[in-house]
Amino acid sequence: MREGDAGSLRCPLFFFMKNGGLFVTAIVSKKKPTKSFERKLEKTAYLFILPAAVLLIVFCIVPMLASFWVSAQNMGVDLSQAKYVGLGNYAKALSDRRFIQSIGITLKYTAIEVPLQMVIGVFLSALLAKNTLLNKLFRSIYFLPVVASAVTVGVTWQLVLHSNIGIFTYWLKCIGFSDANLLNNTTTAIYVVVFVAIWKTFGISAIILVSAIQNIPDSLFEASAIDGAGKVRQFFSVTLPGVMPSFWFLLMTRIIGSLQMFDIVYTMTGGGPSRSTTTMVVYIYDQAFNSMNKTGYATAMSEFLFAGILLVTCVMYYIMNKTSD
Amino acid sequence: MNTEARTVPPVTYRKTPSAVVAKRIIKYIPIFILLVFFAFLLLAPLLWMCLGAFKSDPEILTYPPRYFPTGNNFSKNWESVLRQIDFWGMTLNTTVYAIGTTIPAMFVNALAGYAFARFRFRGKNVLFILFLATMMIPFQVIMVPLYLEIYFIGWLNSFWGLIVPKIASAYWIFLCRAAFEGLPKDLEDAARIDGMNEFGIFTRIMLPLIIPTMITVLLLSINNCWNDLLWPMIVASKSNMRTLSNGLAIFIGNRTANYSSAFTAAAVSMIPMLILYLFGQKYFVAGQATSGIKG
Repeated sequence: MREGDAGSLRCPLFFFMKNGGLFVTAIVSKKKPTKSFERKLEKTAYLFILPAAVLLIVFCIVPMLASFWVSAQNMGVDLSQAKYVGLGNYAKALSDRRFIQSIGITLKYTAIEVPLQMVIGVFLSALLAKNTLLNKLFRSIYFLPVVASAVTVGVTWQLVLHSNIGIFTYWLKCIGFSDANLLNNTTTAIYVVVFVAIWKTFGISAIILVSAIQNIPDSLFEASAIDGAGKVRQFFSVTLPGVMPSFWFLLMTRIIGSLQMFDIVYTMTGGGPSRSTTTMVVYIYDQAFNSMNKTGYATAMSEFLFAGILLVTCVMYYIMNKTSD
Repeated sequence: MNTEARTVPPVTYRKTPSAVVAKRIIKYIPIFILLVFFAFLLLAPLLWMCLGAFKSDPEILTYPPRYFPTGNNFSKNWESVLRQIDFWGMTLNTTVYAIGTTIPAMFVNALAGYAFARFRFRGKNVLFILFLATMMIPFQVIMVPLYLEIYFIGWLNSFWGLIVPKIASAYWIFLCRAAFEGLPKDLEDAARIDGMNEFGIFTRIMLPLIIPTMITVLLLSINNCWNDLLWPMIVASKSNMRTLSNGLAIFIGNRTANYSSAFTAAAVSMIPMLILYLFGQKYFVAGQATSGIKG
């Protein structure tokens, strides 16, 4: 993939800001292609884009626009019973203790998961960057949980950490933790979820950073070696600055992913014990589909999530743009 | 002449002294131990689950835990899984969902990516930005309105509702676009001069040239669908429409004391993805490395 492309692919906002002028000229310029051949090609292009455009508009853009309308209604699944409440759902969400709690849990989860994941990712990718046979083997092992489903992972860890039959529980007991009932404990459950989420996804971080390290020209490493830099010094002076663009991008996707945390929590703890792992999306899902189909209210809460994700995207874009200069 | 020859010494590859090699190996040992530790941490739970599939319930409940099963109890566990849930029905649903999404997705998204890469047309940039913007919309934010939309169309608990919204993806479109852009410009001109129609150029000339990218799309999309939990849970909640993810989450979420069945069902449901990963590892890694938006 070309470098310029990667930038816009990584962060749509990046593209918006870089090509804002392009957007304007695209609307203003109405230069018609003159040759009939070109016009025919243009028709073909529209025809080729049509299926994807229709699907994206109907199943992505329309729901996004509709979400603002839905969030202003007091409704279940039946559209005819919708009652307009304006910003009522938003006000309700802000005074909903459980929603605030779920925001807190999501932020706590993000604050622990992301830095740990990044540190482990950078550290391991530096160790695994060379394409030796052994490293390739390790990389494929580390990537393995990425392809496993969240349900498999959730079930596996639930049983591995089970208070009676879990093998990890047994090992923990062997090394001196007498009461190792980690999943049923309101203070430790969230850390277990963090651990399992990292366990499942750090393969992605490691792979992305490995390819970033491999893209650093060898001459930089050679030059630093001639200058007498050791392996550790090389890591901080060559490797780390070299992977920075990938690092920021990864950081952004990890933060956004963490804010949307759902499946591992749902399959492993179901939000419990006593709501200690109920993240925002788990709570939204619960309100919309489980308890009483409060779709309007759930959508209003998901707008808060959207705002948060948008904010993260903007801030990360700002940082990326500043550091790349 | 003689002097010149002497200034360029013959190239000889010095063998690295064995002492240096030994030093390198010793230096590598702590790193190696660390890597092995991480690999163990990753594999242990999965192995434990696979071993659990061969144990009987009393065997699983013994304390201290026994690592290896004494006998092969797999067929009994498997029968008990089949008694409790419609495993094959779920597998069929998952397969239909995965294949039914992936095949149209490859076609539709490659078509759009091709148009963006190889054609000039009015409104290209507006459309391009529109498509990019959909990447910024998290699924979790639109899931409720999308559910209402599917309910409104009447596709709830049907494969249509499960599959159609998942076909188009800006992520795949940009992956395909990048692949098409890398191809030489003269290709389609030559075909055009030979009188081939545009669709023929796409399917018979351009598409075969980006087969590696298409395989990446194929594998990642199948994997995404197979492991997808949220969307099947929302639109396919009726028991005969459940996919493996969704059905197993409910089966095990009931906190059954039937551990051997849980181990067995989870282990068996992972086999297809393991096979896919074993054969297509290169493509999985390529898909993640170019852009890790997913996950």
